[in-house]
Amino acid sequence: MTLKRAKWSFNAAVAIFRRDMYVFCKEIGGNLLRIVGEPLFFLLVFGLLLPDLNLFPTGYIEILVPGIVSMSTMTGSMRSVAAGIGLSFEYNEDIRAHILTPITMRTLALEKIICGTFQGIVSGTLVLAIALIMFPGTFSFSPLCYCELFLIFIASGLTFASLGLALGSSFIPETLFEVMFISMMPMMFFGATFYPLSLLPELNPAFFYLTLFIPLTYISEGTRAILTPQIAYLSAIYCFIGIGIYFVIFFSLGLWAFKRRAIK
Amino acid sequence: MIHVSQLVKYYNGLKALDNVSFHVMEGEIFGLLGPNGAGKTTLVGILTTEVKPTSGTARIKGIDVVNDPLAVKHLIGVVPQHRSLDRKLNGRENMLVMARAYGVKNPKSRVEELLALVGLTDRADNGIRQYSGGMLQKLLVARALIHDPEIIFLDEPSLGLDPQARIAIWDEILRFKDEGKTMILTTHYMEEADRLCDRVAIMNQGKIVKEGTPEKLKNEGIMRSVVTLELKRISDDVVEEIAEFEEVEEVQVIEKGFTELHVYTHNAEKNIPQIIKIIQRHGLKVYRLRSQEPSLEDVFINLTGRSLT
Repeated sequence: MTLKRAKWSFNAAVAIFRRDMYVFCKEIGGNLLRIVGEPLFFLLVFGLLLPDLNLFPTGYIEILVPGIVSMSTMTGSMRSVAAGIGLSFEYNEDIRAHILTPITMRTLALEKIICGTFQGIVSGTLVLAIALIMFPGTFSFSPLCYCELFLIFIASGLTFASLGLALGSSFIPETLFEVMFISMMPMMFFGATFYPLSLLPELNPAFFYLTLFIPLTYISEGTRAILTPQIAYLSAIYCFIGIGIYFVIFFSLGLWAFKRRAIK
Repeated sequence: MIHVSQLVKYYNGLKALDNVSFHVMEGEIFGLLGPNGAGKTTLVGILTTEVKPTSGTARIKGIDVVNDPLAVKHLIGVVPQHRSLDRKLNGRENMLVMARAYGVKNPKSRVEELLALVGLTDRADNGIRQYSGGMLQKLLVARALIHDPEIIFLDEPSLGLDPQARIAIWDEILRFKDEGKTMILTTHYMEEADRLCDRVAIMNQGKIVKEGTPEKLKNEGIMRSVVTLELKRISDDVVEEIAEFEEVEEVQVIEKGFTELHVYTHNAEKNIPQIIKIIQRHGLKVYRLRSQEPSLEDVFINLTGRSLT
């Protein structure tokens, strides 16, 4: 691709990204509710209510919060891209106008992934902020930790937005939401979200290996490695390697599915 | 300007385009005429880089649509059949996104210029959902012009529009022609093709079955006029005499309380005086006479055995 064409493609991507951000801000109320609603209920029930009823130990918050924050980066990025792409291809068709602009399909796919990543980062940051307010003094970390967390959020956003792109490009909306439910549920519950990986090797080795196959595990453990290093099982570097592998797989799948759907 | 050579497209084993070849000259309006499923939208999809051909080549200003889609997209404007407007944005915002995406200089002023051109300035801040069919189509036309393309593809531009809105869109299309734009227009409205197109290709089942100017297609000899005569009564002798003319293909007698004679002829101009002479010679009187010239609809039925609508 010549420099001129790269410039055209970049210009178009920036214009479409601006549009996506504008629409996100325009619908900020609904978007925030969608992003924060579910994790907030988990935090309220598992972090406040159940420990208050002495059904869960109070220390459980340290296990729970990194998991919920990770989960919200996943749902924030994956849902926004999958639903947006799926509905746009099938009903709104506004993506057809974007396809007709001088942009390569690879660049357009990347734009959608970056947009989803942004929503994942917003989601993780907001849920973390809420958790810090809900459970003051539970977590203490340095400014460097914020940078590391930001990197984890980016990695999570890129990976799960890519998965969202693959799903949104592959299924019609009628089946897409079922497929998303089927793919997200195991990740939400078996992705070391509600339990730390460190307890599994001795207590339940089979479950340990299952958890290692779940991509969200690497985000949950990565976040724990930063927020509560005493509980984390995997070091941050292993988490980045794990999520990196899943990113390559999901990105390739997403790109392939998007190109296949966009150009008939 | 546009050269299409032996294009073939299969969708899941089904042939949507079958060896299609044609060319379009600069400044020309080229019509693709055919019923739903004829392959028009697939053909336009290939030329606008949205569909990949199975085989064959298509070049726009010498640029291959498969090898260099970005350059092609920069050259063309598309008024798609699907109303791919962004429902989350208003009219002006829709235009602005596209202006920026095409790297238009002074995008805001270009948007205002085009909104004024299609008469949508007053409604530009309204949401897309509040637009009528005609307004949506005008906005799509304005959007296709945002980067001042040399070639415009119009896929069923007046589909679903009321007659007034349809005429407004036709006026726009004719104005683009005056500006020297090259256009490819797909339609299944015969009147639209007849009125707007310099040349027409009739498509059926993925193939171009006939190509030429609307006039040429209508007068190529394959077509016939219908001469209708109203009389009080008629005799078999008259019908036989009329049927003997070389140019007359068929004569039908229809009783409607009076007699209606339908004469299908390849040369109405020559046959009408002869027919009247025969009728008068038999002491009969013609109360009403009308001659219907062949339309593109007739051409289509003749070529495909199918009606367009």
